Amino acid sequence: MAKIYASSNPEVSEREKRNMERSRRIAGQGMVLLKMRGHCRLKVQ
Amino acid sequence: MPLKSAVKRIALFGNGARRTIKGGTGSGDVNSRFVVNVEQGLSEGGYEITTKAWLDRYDEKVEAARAAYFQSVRAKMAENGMAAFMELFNNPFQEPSVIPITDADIEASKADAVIYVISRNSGEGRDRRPVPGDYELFEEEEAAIRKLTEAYPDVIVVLNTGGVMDTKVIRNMEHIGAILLMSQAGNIGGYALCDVLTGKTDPCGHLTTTWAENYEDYPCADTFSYRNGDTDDEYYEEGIFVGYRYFDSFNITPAYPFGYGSSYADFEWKVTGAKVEALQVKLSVEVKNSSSQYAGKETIQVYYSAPQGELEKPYQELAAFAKTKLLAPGETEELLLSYPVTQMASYSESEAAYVLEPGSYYIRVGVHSRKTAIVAAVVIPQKVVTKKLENKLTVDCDLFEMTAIDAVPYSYPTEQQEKEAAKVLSVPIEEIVCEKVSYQKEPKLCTAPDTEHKITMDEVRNGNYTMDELVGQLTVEELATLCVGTSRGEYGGDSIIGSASTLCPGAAGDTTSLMIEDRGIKNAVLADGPAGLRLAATFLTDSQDNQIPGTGGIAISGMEELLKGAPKPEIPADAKTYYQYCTAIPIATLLAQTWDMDLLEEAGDIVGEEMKEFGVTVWLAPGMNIHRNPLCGRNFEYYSEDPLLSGLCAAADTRGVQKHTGAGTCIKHFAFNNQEDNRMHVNSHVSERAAREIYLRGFEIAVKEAQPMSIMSSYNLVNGIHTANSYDLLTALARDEWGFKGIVMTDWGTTGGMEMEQGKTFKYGCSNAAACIKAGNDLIMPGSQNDVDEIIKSVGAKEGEVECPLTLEELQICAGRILRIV
Repeated sequence: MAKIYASSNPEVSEREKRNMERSRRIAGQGMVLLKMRGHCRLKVQ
Repeated sequence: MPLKSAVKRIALFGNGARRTIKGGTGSGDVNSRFVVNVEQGLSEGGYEITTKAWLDRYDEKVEAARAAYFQSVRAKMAENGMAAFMELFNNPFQEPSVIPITDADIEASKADAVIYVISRNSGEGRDRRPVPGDYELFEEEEAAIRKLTEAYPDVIVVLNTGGVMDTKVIRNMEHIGAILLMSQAGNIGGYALCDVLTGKTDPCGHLTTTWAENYEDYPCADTFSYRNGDTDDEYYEEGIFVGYRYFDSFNITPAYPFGYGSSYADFEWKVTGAKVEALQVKLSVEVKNSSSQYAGKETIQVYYSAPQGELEKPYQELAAFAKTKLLAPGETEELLLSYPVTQMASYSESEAAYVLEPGSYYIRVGVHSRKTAIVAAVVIPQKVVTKKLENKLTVDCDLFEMTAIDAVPYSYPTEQQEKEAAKVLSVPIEEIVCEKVSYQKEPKLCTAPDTEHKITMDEVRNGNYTMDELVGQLTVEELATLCVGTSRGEYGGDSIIGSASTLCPGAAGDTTSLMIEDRGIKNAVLADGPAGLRLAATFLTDSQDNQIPGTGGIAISGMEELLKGAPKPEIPADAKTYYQYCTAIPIATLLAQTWDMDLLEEAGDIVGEEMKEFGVTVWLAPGMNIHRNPLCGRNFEYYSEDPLLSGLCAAADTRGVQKHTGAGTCIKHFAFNNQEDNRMHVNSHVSERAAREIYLRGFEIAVKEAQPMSIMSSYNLVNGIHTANSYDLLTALARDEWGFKGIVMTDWGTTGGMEMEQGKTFKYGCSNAAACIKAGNDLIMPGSQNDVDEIIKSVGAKEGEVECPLTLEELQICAGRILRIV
């Protein structure tokens, strides 16, 4: 009988939540600001 | 940006606003539980999106186009099921152009900020096109963005693309407040983008590939892949002049240079020390966050310019890099960077050796490839041979490589002054020991011990018998079965799982389960990547935990749509549902853009943890081909145009995965798989120097630094030989020169039976299964009965009887290597 590792619980697991948080933290740091105007009004004054 | 706190309402437009791409198509598409698009990310971040009507209208247009696409694929399916399947894979649905932004849309959008998200998708099997809607903007996109700039003073343009695209048009528009390369950030992309727009995360990424002003500025722009009408032969005429090595040596100004990236914060840096010690170039650099408001991270990059000599050198090459921690305004950090002097050697084909030619090697330090200052000159007084090898990849034709001898390279006003003022660092060259390699001879025969007893894996682990003794007991049939993946049917059909020790639906393949009972040889489960672990999200079993066929098969985007109305498998009332939701991490290019090897390792750690959770042995990733040309359909799965950066990223990713015992990576596609059109039959003609310095070097670094569990040979040929059949590449280089200890497997279907373009004949055919074994390509995936038969009949055969006669020893050594990983 083959071992089944998959989960039978349909709920979002703690591992999913934790790894998505980690992935989110990594993702922002690989985004590249190509251009930003010095006088861009959206910049916090 | 960042968006100031007064911003509450955002006008959000563009094809990537709601239909955000998390990663490309093909085998790199991970089946995550959900995808957070930009609209959702901003909404949950507390912003009101004022343009839902426009987004709804665009959705309607896309849905109509999608319906038409599937109608045409279904018509093909009626004629030829396999062709339809390949169509879905090779030509997935491409979204149509955007809808216009009308005056009424602008009127209704009234907001505190406006964001336009441009998305681009690509994937395996097809290269990109330098046309509107792909490399270039759709006319409608240009018009839409222009309209916004007329209504709003600062339009933020977000690029949701894995690869390079043309930025001329938007850069030259007035009232563009910011351009942010979001890249393809995985299934939490919308949240991560919101973090960056609000300044919660500093967008501290730097480009890992040159973004040219025009597509035509790239070398071989007109001959790459399908561009010259010939996808049979690809001539690497640019030689070592790939990426910034080309742009700098020929002084072509890019839109955004290699290594470029801005930040909310501002930084100052100064070199506080430069020396050569223990044959290492060592630099200390003080970096200060000089902004008054924003915390941020800066990446310091070190390049060297080797002297011209008998060998031509590019203007500069990346030598080392380091990223600061998060620096608060005013905070300073001292970074220490170092690399071996011998790393600056070049490959001489005439000497079959790496040599440091005499002269000054200028060391440049800065924040991107076009913003550096020379800080030192490492002087090599006379030629030094650093590594003696044999030429192994001799080019199979007259290849006319370009030369930069007559070109005037990039320079800047103070360069000559800096050279003259550079601190001279001398190198005790007598201390450099020339590395030598001994290439292995014929493998030795494994003989069975004098016993009737069947040796098991546990007994080998316990030291009762050696692995060689176990291998010596295996019959040719058993050995061949071990070396061929378990698929025996049509690709895309259910793989023969048999009594597999592990059931993992949606995995790309596995090794044999036939010797579990008598010898305890478990099956290795192999699953795709690289943007996470690609498994079936769900599957069903009967009450006895036997998988119900037709549930949880290989998931290709669009398959469900295509199979609507097809007969459904019968589901018993007591069936059980299982879940395998994995994290879709950002694409490899985004990961590389962090220039942060700790983050690469953490990304690998995420995948390694999920591999252990789902019983996966080998992750078919990372991909690490060089970004030779921006149109390669699979560049998003690869890191960079630079081999050092690619190699270090793959090593870090591998360390992250392999800290989980029993889980391993498969670095791919080894090698010269730099295009997707006709990828299975293209012959890449490349000089040995360019091969070693550019295309193989990353693999070499990954092997030496992290010893990945496996390597995947590529589909294509190199200099006339299928890489899967190249002893020189797989054994002489990977194993003898670099010390690789793991297994080599083929890419899926390289021995035939899985033609991407049905019914077409090709100038170059397929690789041969027996020749795979002879080359040291241990495992043939996904496997077929033909592969097994070919190997069996080739063992002991004479020249002329089969395509590639094999000795028993050659088969045993491959099987033995597989046993060491399962």
